[in-house]
Amino acid sequence: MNTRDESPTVNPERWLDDHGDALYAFAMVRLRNPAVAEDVVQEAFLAAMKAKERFSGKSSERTWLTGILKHKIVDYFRKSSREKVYEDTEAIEAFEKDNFLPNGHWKIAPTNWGAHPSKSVERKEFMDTLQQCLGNLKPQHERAFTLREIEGLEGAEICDILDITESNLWVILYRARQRLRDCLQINWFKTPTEEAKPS
Amino acid sequence: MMSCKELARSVSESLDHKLPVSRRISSWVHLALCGMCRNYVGQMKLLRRAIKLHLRDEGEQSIREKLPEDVRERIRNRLKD
Repeated sequence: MNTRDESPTVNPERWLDDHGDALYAFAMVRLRNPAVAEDVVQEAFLAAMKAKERFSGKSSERTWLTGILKHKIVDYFRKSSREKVYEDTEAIEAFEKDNFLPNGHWKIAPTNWGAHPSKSVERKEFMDTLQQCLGNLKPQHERAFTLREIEGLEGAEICDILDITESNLWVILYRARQRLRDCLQINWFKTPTEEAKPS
Repeated sequence: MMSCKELARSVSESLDHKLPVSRRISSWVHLALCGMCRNYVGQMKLLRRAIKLHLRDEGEQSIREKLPEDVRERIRNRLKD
């Protein structure tokens, strides 16, 4: 068999069976919306069909399709950011009042969360709680947070996709992290909290 | 001397880009003295690790729904065109 003459092939007929559910799950983790996930998966398959000649075979078919899907997810975020909510330092000060006293001290002392759950049953429940907490975020906060923490994109890239400034982004991420932290504190860790003792 | 509120802002910022040296030093000094903020940093670290592990790396395992059959059919038909 002369492998040099063989160009890598893709099998579109098998795509739905081999990769349909995996790509759908990938999209769902990032979008948390079945209708949108379905659309995005469809667009990815269609784009892959158009680009199938360019599949080099360096990665697996799954990896290649996932790469295309990632682009479609980013495109979706780009389009859905037309409705913008501007966040600025005034917004931080407003929400910092929830957590801090006027002198800058904690209202309620942050507790030691320890290590995150490692037993498999707990992990599944923890994952569900985490997903729920993410779902509670404002849509724009959720998008920014997903791009940063799940996709691992850098600030400049995220700003370009969501059409916001770096200072907007920083405020959004700070709020998102605080909200998630509060949500996990209430719904998972439930460690006893105490009023922060004045120092 | 940095306040806890300022520390919390710095911690979040440091997750996204490198802080200027002066703020890194102030944060380090504050954390050496403030157990509450050390707990807070631990919480932020756990949050990031958990998101990465549970969603980025293992997230697909938590999705129980499959691509619906009617959507599959629709895509199959469109791919044939």
